[in-house]
Amino acid sequence: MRIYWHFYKTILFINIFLSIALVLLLGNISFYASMFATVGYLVSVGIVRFFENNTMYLYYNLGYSRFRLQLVAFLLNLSVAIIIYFLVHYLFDEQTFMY
Amino acid sequence: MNGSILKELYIDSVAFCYDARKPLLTGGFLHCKVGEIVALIGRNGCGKSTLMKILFGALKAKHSYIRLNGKRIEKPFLSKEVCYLPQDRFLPTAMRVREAVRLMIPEEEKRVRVLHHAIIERVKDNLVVDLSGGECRFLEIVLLLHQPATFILLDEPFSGLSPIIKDEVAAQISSFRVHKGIVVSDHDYHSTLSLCTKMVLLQNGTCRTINDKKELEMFYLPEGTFSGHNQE
Repeated sequence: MRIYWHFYKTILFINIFLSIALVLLLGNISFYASMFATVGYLVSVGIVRFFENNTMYLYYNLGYSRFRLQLVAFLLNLSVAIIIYFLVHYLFDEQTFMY
Repeated sequence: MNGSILKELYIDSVAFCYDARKPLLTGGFLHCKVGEIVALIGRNGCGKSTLMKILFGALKAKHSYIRLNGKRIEKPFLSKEVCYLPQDRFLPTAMRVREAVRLMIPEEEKRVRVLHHAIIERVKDNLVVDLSGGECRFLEIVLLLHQPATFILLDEPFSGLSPIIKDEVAAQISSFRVHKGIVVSDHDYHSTLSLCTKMVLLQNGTCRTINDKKELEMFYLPEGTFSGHNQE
């Protein structure tokens, strides 16, 4: 699990800030979880792949395939997105979503 | 046969091209057994790294036959029996050396041994991005050699290293030879040839086994390289 977490950590870090930027552009905080699970995630994966593609050899050398890592990272991201969705709904009242 | 499994890594009939009009590999082969250090030599762009990536399983060839310990296999790295050192650094730049060692070597005894190596000890708290090219290369080689994998593919392990670190890398590779099969590809033929037990020349898309230095001069190096005089 440590290896998966290590792979996902970089994606998560970029995704958090990228999704905030997207939500600010859209002007609606209720979209944060969906942005985090979709566009933010895909762009973050693309950024990591573009700038740190050679680090895949680290995971290959430990016996992990790209498909397996991407699948687990996607599921982890989805879980985080669900937590964020409920957090946003709990912390913000329905009326405060639109500003 | 004594019933024991022969530890070997074998690749044959490799056909690969980046551009359909220019085939790069047309029949490459390589065979490495435990206890052997195979030197893969050839000119720039002849396909040494490509052959290694195909053998590792990171690159898919148009056709290839890979056998690991007697079994045909598509992606050898998934078996955790093969490791590969790429030409460029593979450790994440934002990671600390200590963290990288912990991630790649879970066994404490081995990890302590690696962290106490003179070259690694002085940089163990640094970020990978702050390491010099030579230090990073050395760290990556040591980490790969300490993996449980039986076969290690090293693509240009001596490039960018100072003579002292080069000697240290050669000593490390030699010390792991007893339990592992190692394939080394490098342009520094002096360092490579002093280490290897077998030489393979990659030329015109195919491989040729080189039996002695005379053959190496005949097919690869200028005449007189080893005898000390040129015939011109």
